This record gives sequence, structure tokens and C-alpha cells, in this order.
Amino acid sequence: MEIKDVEKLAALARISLSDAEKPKLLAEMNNILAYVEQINSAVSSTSNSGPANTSTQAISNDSANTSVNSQPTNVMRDDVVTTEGGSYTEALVNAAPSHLDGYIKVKKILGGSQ
Amino acid sequence: MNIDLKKISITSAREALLKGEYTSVDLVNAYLKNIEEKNKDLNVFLGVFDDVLEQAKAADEIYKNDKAKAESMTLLGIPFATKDNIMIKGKPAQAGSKILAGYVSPYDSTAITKLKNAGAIFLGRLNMDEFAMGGSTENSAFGVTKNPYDTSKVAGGSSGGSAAAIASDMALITLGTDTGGSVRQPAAFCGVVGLKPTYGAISRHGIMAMGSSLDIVGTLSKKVEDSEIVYNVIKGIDSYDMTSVEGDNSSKINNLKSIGIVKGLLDQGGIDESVKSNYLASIELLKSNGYEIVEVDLPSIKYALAVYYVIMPAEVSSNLARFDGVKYGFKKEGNTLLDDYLLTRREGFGNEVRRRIMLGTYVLSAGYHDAYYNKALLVRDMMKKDFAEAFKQVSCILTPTTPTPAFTIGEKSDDPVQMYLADIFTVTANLIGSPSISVPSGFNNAANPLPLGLQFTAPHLCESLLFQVGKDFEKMVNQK
Repeated sequence: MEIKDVEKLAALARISLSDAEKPKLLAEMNNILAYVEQINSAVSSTSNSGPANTSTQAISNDSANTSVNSQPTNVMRDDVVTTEGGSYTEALVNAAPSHLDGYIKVKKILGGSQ
Repeated sequence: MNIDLKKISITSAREALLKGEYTSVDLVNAYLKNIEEKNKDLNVFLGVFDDVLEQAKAADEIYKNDKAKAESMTLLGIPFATKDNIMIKGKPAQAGSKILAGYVSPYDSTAITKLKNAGAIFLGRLNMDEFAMGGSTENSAFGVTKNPYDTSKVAGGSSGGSAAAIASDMALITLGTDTGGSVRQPAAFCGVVGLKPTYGAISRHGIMAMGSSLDIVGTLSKKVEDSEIVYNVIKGIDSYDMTSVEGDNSSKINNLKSIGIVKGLLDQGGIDESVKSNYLASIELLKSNGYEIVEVDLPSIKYALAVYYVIMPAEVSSNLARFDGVKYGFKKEGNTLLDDYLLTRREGFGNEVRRRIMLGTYVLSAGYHDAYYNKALLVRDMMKKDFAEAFKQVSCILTPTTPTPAFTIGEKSDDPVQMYLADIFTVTANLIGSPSISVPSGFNNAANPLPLGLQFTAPHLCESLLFQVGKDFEKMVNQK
């Protein structure tokens, strides 16, 4: 990783960085990546290259399944309205740093100087 | 009314409250007095709620006027405190971060709803590493929590406040969250019990998300029994959490007295001598009390920390995208909306959080996704298979909770990888979704002796097995 990669990631992550902190972050991230690199030696010995099935890990308690290898199952609920409309609106809008007349206020995104 | 908080348990407090030996107001006042006296030095509570005495008075009313109801409410009048990332309606919660300054929870998390229904009292909110990222609370926007056994040492993290509160008698029981060891590691550092339940066993609804495939609410207490009581109140399926589960698999385990130790575990570097000797002594203690110790092979376990530091930041980078200065808390104004985002996240997030967001962005980015994230998922799968094999032979697996006792404040704060290594024994349970408990196992030989912890990890939904073994081990340590 290089400084320009750090800059690219910061832009993607929506975080602005000062020039002074970039080299420090670069060194730290390179250290961490060097450490996690070892996962490559764990999988190089297997031929399995397909995607793993552990992207979620909901756990089932079916039958005699006490292994840690249970397959993901989603907990679903009926598709019915459980909360009265508007009951949280005020609390949620008021949590926004900038709001007006029941709406969250943001800067305009169209017709700017660009 | 003089209440000995050192010896108190939920069971003994409930007995006294039911008999009228003291009231919930007396009990709450005893804790408030301790908080008043000790919090300045230890920095455990970020805030004490202003309605604590009203809550206690309401509990006392029930004790006085409705004995049957009082008996049916398992936690009536019992003083709790919660980590700052667990939502209680109408109370501030900011996950130890500047970016949530001024935020007030608009609803109760499911765990809190269940505790309220059982009559629990909430004293206040507890310090933590920002968004639960860290192993020492040094990443809190509110400063470090100090270890009650030695104030030059960390209390551990990320639930450092939750552990120190128990060790210094500032609450009877506390809630934390555990994504890679954040309940168990501080519990070990502070000499208390820390339970990380099965993934999904307690709803994540109303818990500020860090790593969604790893996060779970946990309990911290002086004794295993207290954690057991609280776990049984807050567990269960929740329609607000589609990964929630319930059940008890413990009865399906037929080799309860057979405990696994991991082949080659002590050969890896970085394990303190005091931890090694305590671990070996604990094994002997279990053997002399009728347990069979079996060596099991878990070849993939050595990759656990590396896998964790790919999957967790990936999930962090996605979960923390919501903090942008628009929806909650702190906002730093710029010239454009994009500037608002960039500046708010720069000033609102601390260094460790920014590092993990960027690292997660990297491992998920096109070109690196296969090399890191997908590989980590594959190794996570291998780990689950290794553990499933091991659990055919043994009921649970024993390791030290941490590789060292509590370290000195500032010692690791400049080296992220060194800090991460403190999680080396704990991350595994989160990756495989298993329940795991840390039980106090003794002290090191320092001038100010520091506590050590022993960790038991069981198959999914075998919490009651862990409680049974944990209580047994607790008894052995006390009798030694």
C-alpha cells in the first residue's frame, strides 16, 4: 500500500485526512495487513476456492444439532405493520443535528458551484 | 443500613428485599455512594441517570404492596449499569464516541425491555472503547478506565467500564457487548465473571452495531450464578433480530466432565509466564476434581486473529457508514454536503475507529476482496469444522482468557497489532458463534497482584453447560 492508496481509501470511507497523518496511517495499515496476510497460508493448502457459506452466521437449534457448524437460517416475522405510523418520527428527526419543520435539513446537492 | 456490597449476589439481595431487611432505595444508595467515592479515580461511569432513586422507589412500592408480583419479578430492585452502546429509551448513549455527542436513545433495546419487565434498576452508562473498538478503553473519547486492582493498569476493553464497575462494587451486575472478547478480556483483567453467549442468543436490536456477524450482548458479574440469572432473563428469539435463536443444547452433551485443551496452545509466543502457570494449575485443579482433560487438535485456531482482523473491519466499515453528521449527534459544517461528511467523520471518530473503517474499506474493495475477505470467510469455515470435530470428544474447550494480565496504560496504544494480540484467545468464539465464559482463576505475583481468567467455550446454545462447569470451577478456586 502507498500514500495514494491511503488517500483513495479515505475518500471512499468519507474521512478527510491531514497530510501529516497519512504516512502514520500507511505504516499502521501495512503492519496490520502484513499480520493478516497469514490467512493465505491457511487456504493455500486446500483446493476450495468458491465463496464460503459463512457470510452470515445465524445459528439453528434444530434436532440434535449441537455442532458449531449449523447452517444459516433467517428468523422471519409476518409482514404486518407493528408500529403506528409516525410514532417515532419526532424522536428520530430531533436526533438530527440540523432539522426544520419535521424534516432533516442538508445542504443542497444540485446546482452547486461544480 | 449497612449493606456489604462485596458479598452481595442477585439471590441474596432478592432475599433481603423480599424479607424487607433493606429496600431497593437502600441498595441503590449504597452503590451511588461507591460511585461518588471511586468514579473520580477509576473513570468507570460516563453518567449516572437522574431518575435512579425514582426507579428504586417504584420497585419498593411493589415489594411493599404486592408480594406476589414482587416474587414473580426476577430482578425487581436490582441495580444494573450498561455499556454506553446499549440503548435505554430517553437516556444518552454515545458508544464512547464524540460523533454521538448529545444523542438520546429513542427506544429500548430488546435486552433492556426484558430487564425492565423483570424490574431491574439502571444506574447509568459505562465507559468503553469508542464503538467497542479496542482492548483497553484507551480509545474512549472520555479517557481510559483504570483497573481497580492497580490504577496504573488498564481495565481491559472494550467493556472496561462494565468490568471495573463490578470489581469496584459500583453496580451489582453490568451488561457489555462482545465482538472479539470485549466482555471476557476486561472481565479477566478485573477479576470478574464475563459471559459471551451464543451468537443470536440475545437480540442485537437496540445495540449499536460494530461487527454484525460477531456482536453479542454479554453479562459481567462477581459470580457465575448472577450471569446465569440475567442471561435467562434477556435471552430469546426477537422479531426485531433476524439472526436471533433460542434453545438449550446442553442436555444433548453426554461427556460433561470431559474438557478439551488445545494442542500446542502454550507454544505460541507472547504468553506471560504467570498466565501459563495459572493455566496449568487450573488444569490440575479440574483433574483433581474429577474432570478428564483431553488434548484436541484445532489446526485452524492459529489463524483466528488474522481472520478476525479482516472480517471485523469489513463489517465495521459498512456499519459505521451511517455516522455522517446528518442523522445523529455531532456535526462539523463544511462548504458542501460532501465536506460535511468528510469533516464530521474526521473530527467525530477517533484514530482506531478511522483505522478500522479504512482497513475494512480496503479488504472489501474490488481487487482485494478475493485476497482478504473471501479468504477470511473460508478460514472461518475451516475453524467451525475443526471445532465441530473437537466437540465430538469434549463438552467444552479450555484456554486462558488473555495472554497476559492487565497491561500498563499507554503500553500498547502506539502499536495496533500489539493491542490486537490481547484478543488472541477470545476472538475464536465470536468467529464460530459459540458461547464462552471467563471465570476468575487466581492472581499473578506482582506487588499489586493482578487477576487472571480462565475461558471455557462450548457448542452453540450450551450456556447452561458453561454455567454448570463455571460454578464448579469457581468453587474449586475458592476452596484452594
